[in-house]
Amino acid sequence: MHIYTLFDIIYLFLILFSLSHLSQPVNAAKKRPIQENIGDQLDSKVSQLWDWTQQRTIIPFTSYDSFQHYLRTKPRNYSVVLMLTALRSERGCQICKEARDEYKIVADSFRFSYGHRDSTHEKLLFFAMTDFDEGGGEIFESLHLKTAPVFIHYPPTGKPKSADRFDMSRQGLHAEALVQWISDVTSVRIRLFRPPNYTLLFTVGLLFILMMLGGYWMREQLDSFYNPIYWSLLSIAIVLVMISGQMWNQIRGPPMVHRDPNTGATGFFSGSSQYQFVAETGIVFALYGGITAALIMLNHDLLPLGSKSVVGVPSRGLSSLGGLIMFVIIFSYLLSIFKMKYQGYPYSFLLFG
Amino acid sequence: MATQSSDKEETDLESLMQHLSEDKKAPKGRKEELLEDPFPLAKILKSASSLLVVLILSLACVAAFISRLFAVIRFESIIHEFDPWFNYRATHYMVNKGFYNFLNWFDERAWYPLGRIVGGTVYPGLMLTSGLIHYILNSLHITIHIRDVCVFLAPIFSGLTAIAMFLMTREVWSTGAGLLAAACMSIVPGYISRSVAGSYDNEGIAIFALLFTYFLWLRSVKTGSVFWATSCAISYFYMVSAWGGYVFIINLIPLHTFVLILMGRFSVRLYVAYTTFFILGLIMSMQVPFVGFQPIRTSEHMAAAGVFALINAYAFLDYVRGLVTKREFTLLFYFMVLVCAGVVFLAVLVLTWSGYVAPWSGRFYSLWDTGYAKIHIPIIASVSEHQPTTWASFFFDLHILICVFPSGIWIVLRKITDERIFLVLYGVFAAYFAGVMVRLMLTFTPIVCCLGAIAISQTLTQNFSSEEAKDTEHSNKPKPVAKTRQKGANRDKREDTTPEELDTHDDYLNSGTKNFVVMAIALILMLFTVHCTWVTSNAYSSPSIVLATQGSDGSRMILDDFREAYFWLSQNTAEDATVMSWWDYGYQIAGMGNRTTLVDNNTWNNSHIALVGMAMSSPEERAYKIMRKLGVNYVLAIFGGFIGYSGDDINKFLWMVRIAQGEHPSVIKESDYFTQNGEFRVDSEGAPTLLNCLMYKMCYYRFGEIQFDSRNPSGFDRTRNVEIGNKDISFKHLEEAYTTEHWLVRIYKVKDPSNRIVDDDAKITFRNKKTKYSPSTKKYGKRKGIVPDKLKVTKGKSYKQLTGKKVRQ
Repeated sequence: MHIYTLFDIIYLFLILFSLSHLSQPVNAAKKRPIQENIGDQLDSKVSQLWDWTQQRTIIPFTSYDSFQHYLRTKPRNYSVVLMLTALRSERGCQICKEARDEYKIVADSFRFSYGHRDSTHEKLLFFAMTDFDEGGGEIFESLHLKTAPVFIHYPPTGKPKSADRFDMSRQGLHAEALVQWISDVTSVRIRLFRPPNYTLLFTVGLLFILMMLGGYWMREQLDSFYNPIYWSLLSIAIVLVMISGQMWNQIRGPPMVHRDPNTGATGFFSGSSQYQFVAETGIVFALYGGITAALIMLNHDLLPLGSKSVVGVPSRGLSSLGGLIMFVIIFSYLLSIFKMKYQGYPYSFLLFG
Repeated sequence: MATQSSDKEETDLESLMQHLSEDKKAPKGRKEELLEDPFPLAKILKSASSLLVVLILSLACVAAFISRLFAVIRFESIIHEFDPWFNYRATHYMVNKGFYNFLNWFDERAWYPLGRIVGGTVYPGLMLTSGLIHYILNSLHITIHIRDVCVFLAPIFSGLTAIAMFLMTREVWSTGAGLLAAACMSIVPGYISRSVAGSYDNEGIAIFALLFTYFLWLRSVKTGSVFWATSCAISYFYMVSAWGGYVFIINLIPLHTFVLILMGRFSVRLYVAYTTFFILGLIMSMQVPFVGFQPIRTSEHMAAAGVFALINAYAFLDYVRGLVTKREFTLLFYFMVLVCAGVVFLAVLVLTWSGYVAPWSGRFYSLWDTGYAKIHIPIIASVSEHQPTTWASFFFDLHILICVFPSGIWIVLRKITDERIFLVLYGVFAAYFAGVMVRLMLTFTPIVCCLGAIAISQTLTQNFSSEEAKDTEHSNKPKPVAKTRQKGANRDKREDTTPEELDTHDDYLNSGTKNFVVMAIALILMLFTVHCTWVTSNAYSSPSIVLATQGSDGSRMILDDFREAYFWLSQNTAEDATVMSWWDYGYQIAGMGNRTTLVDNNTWNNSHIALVGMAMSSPEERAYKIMRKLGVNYVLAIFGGFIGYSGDDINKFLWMVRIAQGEHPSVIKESDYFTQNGEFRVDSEGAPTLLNCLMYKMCYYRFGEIQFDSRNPSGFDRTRNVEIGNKDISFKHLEEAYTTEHWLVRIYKVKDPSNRIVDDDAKITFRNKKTKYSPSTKKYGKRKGIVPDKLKVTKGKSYKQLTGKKVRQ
């Protein structure tokens, strides 16, 4: 009787124990039984997050349960910035990769400044990421998300508000904008440390070495380095790039061409004088190049021809005629494009209205 | 259209000139031949050509002056825009109180309560120039008001610029090209945009100083004389005293020197020219109070010092070379180059790091890293003249010249000389800067005129008559320059073989084409003249403080609201009243209203501006607290919704929020002013924070009672084409003091604190009726109205926005 009861109790205990294990999801195995007080639970959560952060600066959440546990369940005393993304190449999300890179810079910078566990900063902040194709599908569903990437800040208490979502369309993708947003929502100021761009450094270094080598090998014919033709072509190229508005493209990032959403027709030219498309500037670049070539042909005597008897080189008369025709046609066309962009501009030249 | 006809005449004369001036280009040997020539026509032509040069140049000056007078004829002799008002006020002060008082002037009317030390924060060249002209005229008993001197200063100086252009182009190419360049320079819109009558700003005189400095530099490199180099330094000093753009000179001239050394074109002439210019220029530029010790303490100026060290090291090596054997010299050369480069680099690094040399300033840095300003300096990014340039703006400002400019580089480099290298460097760098910032189109324009004119002139010369062309070909051979390499000389010989062979190849096709080439170019030059006149008349000739509109019957109406408001301020407010407005209007309030302002266009104190921005974007209670602390008596807002004027404060409002957020991120958040979908709307869908902020309330106070016609609801904003969202606006701490005829300027008085605390807050109700006209997200500023008989503003900010002047986007 006595033994029975003891057995029973042990048995019951075992069942309970295994049940408690079975009923809990895999990732939450470290969760302490309910009896333990809230403080311990918090400690275990924080220490777990710290452990993960030590391994990778951005914690990957691969299941809905862990997301639920660490980001949504009380108690929490930490902020988490969560990036929801879809990085698989078949998703074809180019912007996700860029966003991930920028996000990583922010997370690394944060770790660099406040990375030690005993460092005394007023707020606990963790960086997390979840991928749609790596167990994040459920998380996307629960947040009613249809697009990626999305950044959400989970405050220590309560649910994320509207300000806790990073507005990428307005603020852009740059790490600076992310830092600004994080400091707005968590009041943690992160100093950015951008890792040097190694590929650029490498390319420049390689080019430099090649140039040095080339200079060394060609030291006998260094004259060609001083040949003004190369230099004038280079200068003309730079100038053409600038006056066709490539710098504007660089800063503003317009689309390639304009697609009419209704008809699907493609327009190369923007109708406004304050806007332009990439294709448009390419065309203008070519037109300016054409005019330059035409004028050089008109100045036939200045062409760098060693001897006139070279086959294929046009005679003086042909070259002038070709230059003249090209010059008139291209300038006329350019003026007509300009007229289209400036409403109310009255003039045109010879050919095109 | 006196302008047009005189310019046409010029173009014709120019072609004639090409024909006649060949003799001038001939080298000395040929000239002597001509003198012995018994046939007198050559002599006559020679004297006629110099007469023509004078005639054409004076015509260019006259054209430059006349074509800038559109605004004066249409409106009146008045100072334009924003910055000119400060310059005018400062000039007025200087003329009345004397130069030394001007240098010590502490302006307590600006940046209340901080004040501004004007003498030390201004380039005094402009004021001194007009003060001097005024003084001379008055001592000759030609009594003229200083305002008229100020209004006409820029047109007068553009005439001088045309002459400087002629001198510079003649220095590198020919008299004919010089005249064409001068004619182009006098009417090109890229320069007119900053120098119309009334646009009394630094740039007006600075472009003349810039070109004249470059001319003197080219002359001193050519001659190697200390006299010309000293003149160059003096001209540079004038430039430093006139405009901050002098940094362009102090970097381009060292770059030119550096490239010449790299190309093995070092010569004693270059050494004399550069060292003289650098030392004198450095000492003189430090005499300008605003510049002070900057030339030796900031990174912008370090390139010049580095090149100075380099050219001295090079000259030393050159000297040593004559004393040692070749092998020793090679060793010494490499050793010295390494040591020199290392020492200079380390010195700059250490000095920068230890703080003796300031790193690049933000404004300068943003030229290289184009994204910098947008993130870190919103106040720079907010000004539309700091935006990048579209290709259409290039074409708008330069027309045919921008098309032929690249071929000018080619033509110039075919026969290379020291001076021509300078032109190409100038062209390439100015093109880059103009691409980054619309404003720097101004420094780009001269070189485009110069190289474009050279290209056109060369083409004309080639196609006028084959005989003449061949003569030029021979005579235009570059003068022998001191070459350090034997190979250079060989190169020249190879080039020389071309013209001789050409004699045998001249077919009849060519002679037929030639006439057409000349005709085509003449036509295009005429078109250029017409284009310039059209652009000047339509885009660049609005004073922007007086607006002209077209009524429904086509008659022209003048809206003089700005001056009306400023006049009211000067007559009806206390002498020491403080007026708060956004910084754009600070200079005008001080200049015309003669009242104290909190912030103005000299944007030196970002936090003060942010404070004003915060007051404007806060609800009335909080704004009132800020205004009480700042001691504000009146608040002024520009409202365009009544007449459809797009450059008003509501359209600028987001920048106020942004700048305020930069300093007070916990109080002002930009996202609060957008709707859920991220739109900026002023109708009933708009964000509540926006509908209740001070600026919104000031602009739309009692606007809901206005109904323009039966087709639109009451309170219909004609700029943004929506019915406003908050029609029931009342103030607790402010009261409307004055609203101008077309509601363009609204002035409110800030009440003193009331004796008794009243607790019922102003009630605000929203109309939930959805408006028919919902604006698109971004283009709220540029949409034209759909109200049938709405006043259409044709001369005013709307055009300025096209052309990128100081209007915010």
